[in-house]
Amino acid sequence: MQPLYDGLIATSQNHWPSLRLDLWRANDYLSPIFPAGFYNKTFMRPAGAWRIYEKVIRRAAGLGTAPQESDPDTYGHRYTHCDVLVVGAGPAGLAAAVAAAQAGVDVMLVDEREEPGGSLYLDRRVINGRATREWVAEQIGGLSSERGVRVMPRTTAFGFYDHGWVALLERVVDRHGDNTAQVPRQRRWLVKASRVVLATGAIERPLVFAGNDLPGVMLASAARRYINQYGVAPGRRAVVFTNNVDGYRTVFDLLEAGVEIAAVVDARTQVEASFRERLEKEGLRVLSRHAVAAAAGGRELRRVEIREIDEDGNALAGSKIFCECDLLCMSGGYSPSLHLHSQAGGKIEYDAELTAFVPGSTRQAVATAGAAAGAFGLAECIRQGAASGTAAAGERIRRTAVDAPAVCDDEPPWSIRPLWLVTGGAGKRFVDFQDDVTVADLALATRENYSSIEHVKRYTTLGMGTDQGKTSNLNGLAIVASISGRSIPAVGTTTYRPPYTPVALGALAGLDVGENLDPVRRSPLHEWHDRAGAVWIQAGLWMRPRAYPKAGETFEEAWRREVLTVRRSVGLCDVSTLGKIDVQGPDAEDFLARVYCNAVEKVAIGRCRYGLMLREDGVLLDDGTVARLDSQRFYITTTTSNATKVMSHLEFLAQAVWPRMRVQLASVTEQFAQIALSGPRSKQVLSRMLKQEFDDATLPHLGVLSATVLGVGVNVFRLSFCGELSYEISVPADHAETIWKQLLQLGAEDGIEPYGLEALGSMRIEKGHVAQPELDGRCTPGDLGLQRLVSRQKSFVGRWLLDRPQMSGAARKSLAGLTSVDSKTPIRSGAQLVPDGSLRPPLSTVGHVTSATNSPTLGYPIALAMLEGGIGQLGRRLIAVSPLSGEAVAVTVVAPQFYDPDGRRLRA
Amino acid sequence: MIRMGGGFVRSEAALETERYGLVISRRLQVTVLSIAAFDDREQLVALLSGAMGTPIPDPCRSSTGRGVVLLAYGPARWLAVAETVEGSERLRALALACRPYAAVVDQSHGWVCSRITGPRCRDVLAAGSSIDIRPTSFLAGHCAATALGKISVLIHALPAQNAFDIYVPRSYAHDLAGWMLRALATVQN
Repeated sequence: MQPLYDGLIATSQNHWPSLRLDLWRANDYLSPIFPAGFYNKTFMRPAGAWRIYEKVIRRAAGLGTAPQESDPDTYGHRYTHCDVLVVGAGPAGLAAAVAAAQAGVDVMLVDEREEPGGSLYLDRRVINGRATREWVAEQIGGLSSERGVRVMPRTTAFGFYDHGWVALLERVVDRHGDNTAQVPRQRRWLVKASRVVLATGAIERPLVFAGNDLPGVMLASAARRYINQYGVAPGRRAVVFTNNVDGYRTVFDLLEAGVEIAAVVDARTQVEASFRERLEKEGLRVLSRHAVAAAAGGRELRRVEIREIDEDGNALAGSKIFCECDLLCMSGGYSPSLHLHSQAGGKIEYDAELTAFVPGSTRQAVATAGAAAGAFGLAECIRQGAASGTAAAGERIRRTAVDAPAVCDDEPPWSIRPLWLVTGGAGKRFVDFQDDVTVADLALATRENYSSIEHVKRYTTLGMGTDQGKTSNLNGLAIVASISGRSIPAVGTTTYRPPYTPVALGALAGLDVGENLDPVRRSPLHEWHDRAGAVWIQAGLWMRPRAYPKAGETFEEAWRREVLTVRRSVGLCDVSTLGKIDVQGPDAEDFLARVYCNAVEKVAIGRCRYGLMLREDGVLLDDGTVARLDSQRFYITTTTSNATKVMSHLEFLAQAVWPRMRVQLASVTEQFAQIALSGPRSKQVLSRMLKQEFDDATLPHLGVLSATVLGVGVNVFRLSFCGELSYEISVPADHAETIWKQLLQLGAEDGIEPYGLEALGSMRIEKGHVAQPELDGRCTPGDLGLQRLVSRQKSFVGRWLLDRPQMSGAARKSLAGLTSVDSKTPIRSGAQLVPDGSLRPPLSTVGHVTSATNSPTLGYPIALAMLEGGIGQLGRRLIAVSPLSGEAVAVTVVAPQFYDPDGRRLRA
Repeated sequence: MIRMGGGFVRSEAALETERYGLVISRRLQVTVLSIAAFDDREQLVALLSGAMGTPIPDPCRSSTGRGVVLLAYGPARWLAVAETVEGSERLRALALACRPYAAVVDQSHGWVCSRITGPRCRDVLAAGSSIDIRPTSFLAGHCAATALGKISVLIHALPAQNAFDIYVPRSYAHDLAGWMLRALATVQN
């Protein structure tokens, strides 16, 4: 519901070119060719024209226009807990909240309307000798004086989830795009309540007869709300059509408001004597056992046709009474609001006496009270509410003295005659007013063998409007039951799903929008990179420098320069984003032996190894390094993108699979910055920093050295990802910038420069090292040419499923290198590889390009690919096709190691 | 920047937020160790308790003794935080003593501690965390590993009313401060 405010622009819809001259009314005459599911039958050809049809149909259906701009409003999220949550501040809800508050527990009372009171504002009732408005004020006043009570009007409970979580939508301000108040437009709450009382009331049902959608036909309770809450007479001359006792409230309120009553039509045979007498005093007669068979008019109601009905509710021939009027109030009974009860997992049962579904057993700490539980009398609502509130407070009752039961003005007992459909009149009989579903649509669906009510719903769109069938569902399924010769319980109901009422997507997103969609992680060197003018790239959640362009330099020129600097001299790269895990304990070695598929456990103290980790299904999970710091302590690294996944995987294994192992894991990704010092001159720079000469015996390839630099303890790992002699220096994060600057200073004479992710990525492709694009959750070690690393001497996670026949063989895609045939045309990552020849579809692919670069070192484009047959296809010509960009590049299959395949440079 | 007592600094911008009921201050110079028992929990607890001179807290509770705060953030897992130089020295000695029984890992550079105070701070926490943060439930000395928005944090309720230390992984610290300020705007009525 959108409350009105100054400046709101509201327009009517579903008409063209204007409401007064609406050419869409032609549909009324064409309706025989637009039955339920017509677009599945009528608009089949030509197939390509559906896009045009769809636009016209959607426009005609009045689905509104989605805004093209981003939502200007802000939305908040809020969690809270309480002992008792009461949903609905009508008579039952107020009584429940008061009872629970008096018991001394934390209470939340929420209601979707502007102010508490619910149905009490519909009627002129008396409670304990006072008008209902006074009684409501008294209850609210009492609640305000209790500690731990929160009363939240304008707040809709729209979802009930497991473990007592209830979702609320609070409308803080009504106006769109007005941020001057510095408050959110709406706030979504998630409430965890120990117990929930649902006092959600009941919704009046319309009656189904010909012409029941004319302007001037409205629910009887709607007319009462106009009169009693808003002081508006909804018509001048009214007919009231009811099948239940409640319709008479509307009759008397209309009379009080000075509206002329043209007729009172009651489907029941027996009318309460008190009502009959009171009406007779007004000179009115009740047409009992009658029904409105048709309403007639154009843009507004003009008259109704009334007929006597038989035992089955069918209009009898020859009994027509015509009555002029401009208002028809209809009351078809009440349907308890079971949505939240059902969403909470509660059962629902059909009550034939009430002609309504009512709440059955529940599986959560939830109770239903008042009209929502089928109690339609005011005194009973209040009694049930108070009892539910007290029960919800449980054993924490502070005061035993509870208020005496409410005494309400007299009301006759509930009485209703089932009347799901009035036959006889001419015109459309609407069941779902929002989605324009008629009785004829339901009959057609039944004839076409849609027996499940869920299927009928989807075929006819019954209950699929934004109200989700709140007024139409029971009428609809009762009519389906009647047509198909089944009982109402046998037909059942459709599923009640959240949200109860529509919720703006912004309210669900909260603060997680735009650039704040996900958190951004910053390396300890972030500020330095920023000052150095880094071009940033988002890698997962991390912000990483992509390159450091100098003045007048393009991005492309920058990263190519950085590559060549590393290849020729020395460069510095921030690799702090790598996942780093401290593994400790007497069983740490055994733990890692089970986790990695290669023999990392044999690594000596002060050395490190490349490590491969598999999933249970034998597919590669991640690669990284394992360094042994002492006999029971290891420092392992993971790829940046898999850091969280690997940590979760290891924690699961340690806690759930091998809980008796004495091993503990701690993520130290945040504790240490890691700096890669790479290039043929890196050894000299490192020597200067460590103030010592060292040789391969002191720090061999895959060696680890602990040292102190400027008073800071660091670990130096001799590892290479770029293919050059390289050292990764692990530094406590607070000191990262100090060490980084020191390296830059000490390497100045060698022309040291920082290099970013683009240069690093290009160099690892030149070297043939795999990274995330290759570790895509589908490949095995064998696919990447790493089968020789897989131990056959031990058991490890993924071992047995790795031996499945499907996990090896020539048909699998495996790693290969590609060069473009003309040595000029770049190859695009993600391109599909197809056999050389015609590119006329359909084409079968034999692989795909995983990573590509225009190699600065080699001077021509290269790529890594996963290719059927892998390096067994050396020399084969293929075409790398990018359908999205329309590119096709002729490529040749080569070995995936383009640069220093023997590894001499990194061992230099 | 304005230096406050207890090794905290507050930025000029943070002072501005005080108007809206929240002050965020960044903690400096703390030593943080994570301690996770291998198996012999009793020996470890006795050791920690003896060193701190206080009982070891139950899960989701904290205790303070001899300049060290111990936050029990998981089963047999603690975060030990030194508030003073003396406490840091004691903590490092304690780390060595614990080694046979627990994995002790220095996380002083990995966690950033922010102190939030003010009448709106519980509202801000409730904007992002599903824990029961009501004053009647989350009492002084309570702690909880949870999430604020999408960021994992460890919240520690301090003795002063409406005062909390928020421990966050370093890489998220900048973003968390921004999140708290954005959340502050959504809790106003």
